Amino acid sequence: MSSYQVGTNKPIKLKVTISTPGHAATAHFLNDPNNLGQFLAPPKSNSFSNTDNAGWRQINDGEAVQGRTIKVRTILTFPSGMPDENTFNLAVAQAKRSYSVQLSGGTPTPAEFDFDVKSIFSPVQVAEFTSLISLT
Amino acid sequence: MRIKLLLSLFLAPVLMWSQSTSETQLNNLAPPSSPAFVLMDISPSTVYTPPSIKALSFQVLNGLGGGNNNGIPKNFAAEIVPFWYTNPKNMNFLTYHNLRKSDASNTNVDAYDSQNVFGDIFKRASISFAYMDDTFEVFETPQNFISVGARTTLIKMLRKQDIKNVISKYKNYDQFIKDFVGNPNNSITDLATSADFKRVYDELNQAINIKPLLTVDLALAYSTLLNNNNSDFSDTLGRYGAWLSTDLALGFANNGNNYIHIYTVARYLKDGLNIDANNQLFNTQIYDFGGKLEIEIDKLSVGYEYLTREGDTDEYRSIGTARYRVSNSITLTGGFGKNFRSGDDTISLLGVKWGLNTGEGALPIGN
Repeated sequence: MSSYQVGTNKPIKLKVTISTPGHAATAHFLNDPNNLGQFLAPPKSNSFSNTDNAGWRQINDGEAVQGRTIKVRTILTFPSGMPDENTFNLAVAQAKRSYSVQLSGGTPTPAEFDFDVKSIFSPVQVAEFTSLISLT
Repeated sequence: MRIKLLLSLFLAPVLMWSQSTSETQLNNLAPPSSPAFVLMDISPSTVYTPPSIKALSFQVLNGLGGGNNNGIPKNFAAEIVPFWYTNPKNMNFLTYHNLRKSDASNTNVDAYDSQNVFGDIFKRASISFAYMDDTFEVFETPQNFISVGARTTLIKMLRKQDIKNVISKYKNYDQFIKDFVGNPNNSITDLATSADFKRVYDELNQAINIKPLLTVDLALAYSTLLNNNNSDFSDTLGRYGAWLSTDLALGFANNGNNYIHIYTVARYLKDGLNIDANNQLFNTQIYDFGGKLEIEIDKLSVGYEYLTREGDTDEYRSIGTARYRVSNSITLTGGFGKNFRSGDDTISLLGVKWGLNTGEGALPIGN
């Protein structure tokens, strides 16, 4: 897990970018302050895809987030279909090279974070990019 | 006796088919997907797809084992789509499929209402490469040949209504995935069992893979002796081929499965791998020009094609064709007419074409 120093700063903003022939949809989750192991479902408006405007988005409606954990998840699919697993792997690798998760408003600002990638070729061609960031 | 008669009746079509295919080898009208292999008439059992350009360089330079004294394997085939090794900027599903906004400031997906008909030139370009050690039925001892080919789509033009349909299906798909990703309890393996995902996926997949109104494809290939084992041969000896084809697909009945195709084709082949009675090598050149009119109704296609061949020969091919797609991977094909080198004789063909379903939604032209 990465960490980001936010203190009592607000708003903290998130920016996710990806350049891919596939469809990429991103959502972020903050954990429940009363149950730190549980992530809360965000408002639907928090989900966006790579045909929407890429830009900075406030998290937690602009309120302070110190002490919480943010999980940023992007699901990548290929609706036109990849002809074989080799091509699928190349497409995921290409998306991985372009993917970035950034937060701003803390120290430093902006800051870029690591992510994990899990992909499945069959029965569906899908990849998941996940970042876990502790906000201190 | 009766058993023999029955056997001969059942086997007759099979034997006729075998004889026909061996005597008359019809070529596709569409440019080959791997021109480097087709040019040298090889079908590599293993085609290497490198995970990176660095890996390809490493593989070629270090060999795969069993290589010759160049360190390059005796028989090696690779195919790459350069696009996958690049880092495109600001690409998404719609821009990859050459859709673009008339009004760049509009953030709505409905703004993707126009297209870049030349957008596939780089994205769909593929390069095939083969290194082989063979006599090619010409040389007494195997010679080292290298063959390089490239193929691309020069023009792909979608219909206006098909673009609108893609956007409509895309919006459903986009909303589904956004809702899915927004639920912290969903995992990506859940997509495999989601009937709703299958529905929106199939709808968008069919919309984006619909036959374009117009496609223009080009392929080029060149081969030459690489390591001359016999100093009598010119080091430029080899083959050169070029293929250009167009497909104008006019839809009718508005169900997305019925088309009138008007194909045109131009091909050139220079072949330096010929040997005469005095064991002297010589070049031949042929030029093919022609076209095909085909009506496609659901799984059945019926057409007529005419090709004229000029250069070191003066022949023509005039043939009626029929195809029936049994499934995505099996197609029954038939033809009747006059092929190149068949003289005044008419030929008839019956065959089965099978292969992997690539999901491209397109069938090859011709037999």
